[in-house]
Amino acid sequence: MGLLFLILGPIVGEMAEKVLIHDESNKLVDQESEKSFHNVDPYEINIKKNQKITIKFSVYSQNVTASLKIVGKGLFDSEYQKNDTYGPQNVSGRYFLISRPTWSGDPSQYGYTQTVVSCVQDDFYYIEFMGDGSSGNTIWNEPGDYVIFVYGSNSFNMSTEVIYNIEIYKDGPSIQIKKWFSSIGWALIIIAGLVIINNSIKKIRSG
Amino acid sequence: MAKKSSSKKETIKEDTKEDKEVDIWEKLIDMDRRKATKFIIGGMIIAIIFGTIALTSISLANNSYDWENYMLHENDLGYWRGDYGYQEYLERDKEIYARADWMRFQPVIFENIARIGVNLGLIFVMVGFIGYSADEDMDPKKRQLSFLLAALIITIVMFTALSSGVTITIK
Repeated sequence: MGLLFLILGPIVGEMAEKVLIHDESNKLVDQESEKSFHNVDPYEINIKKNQKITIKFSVYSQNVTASLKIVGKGLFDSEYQKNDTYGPQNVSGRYFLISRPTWSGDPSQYGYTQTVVSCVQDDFYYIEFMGDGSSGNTIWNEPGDYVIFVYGSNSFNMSTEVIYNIEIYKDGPSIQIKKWFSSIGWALIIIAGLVIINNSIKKIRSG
Repeated sequence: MAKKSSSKKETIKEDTKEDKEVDIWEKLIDMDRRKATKFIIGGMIIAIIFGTIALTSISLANNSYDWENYMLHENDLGYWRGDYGYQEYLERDKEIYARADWMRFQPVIFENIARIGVNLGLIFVMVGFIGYSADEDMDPKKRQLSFLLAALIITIVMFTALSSGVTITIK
């Protein structure tokens, strides 16, 4: 039983590695969103200690440019109230990390930080966010409430729709699950060992 | 009266405890051949189990560098395949180094526990041989040989317990 817990721990933990919190396919946002905070698509997230948010952001439609930024909830609320023209474009976002896995090079050469991504037709971005970062390829954990928001434009005169896809994942309780399974497994093995020793001593005593 | 009766109970309890302790020693000395054989087999099984634990632990530590290299390459592949991002890649990288360090360190714990277990098993074997040597129905030469073996085993136990310590160097 103890061994079973030790074996199952990593498997169950791996299954709870990431939790999907938002999944929007072919989501529409009006191009007014690049001018007004009242028209952007906001996704509220909460980051805990050592937690990471993973975002898959893509656009498949032609003539569309969709942009993504992440700001603190406080800043978002105040900008929403002010509602300055072109506020979404002008506000400074927090740093997040973009990965571009390339088989031809070392991974360290293909991870870099940005404060905004602009997605045009058939673009795909794999983004990781932990609270803040700096230019280069470093992000770090700052627990708190944040808002991911998407705004965009459509260069086709007859249309104002901006269509994009977004999947947002947060780190699941995999570390805690692994720790619990491991602790229970070892505890059961130790208890079983103690019971066996106790029984052997009793047998020896009884002859 | 109540005090007297309680003190009587205490002395009775102490007596029975002493009786039990004496009983165990008496039993050990007066053990028959069958019980002695049980001790030897049981002791050997305990020693083999703990010895296997020690060997496994040492083997894990010796192979930790190969495991580390393999896991680092697997991590590169996971990133290149797009299974996870650069931050996750870095986290996994750090975890691999920490786990490899643990693999190199764990013999300090498990080898010492195993050493205690093996010595315990050998003590059981020794008691079994003493049981053979105390058996008056046995051939005198075999009794002498059993006693020598018991002495040899306790020498081994003392030597392994007191001489070398387990040291691990983490680079």
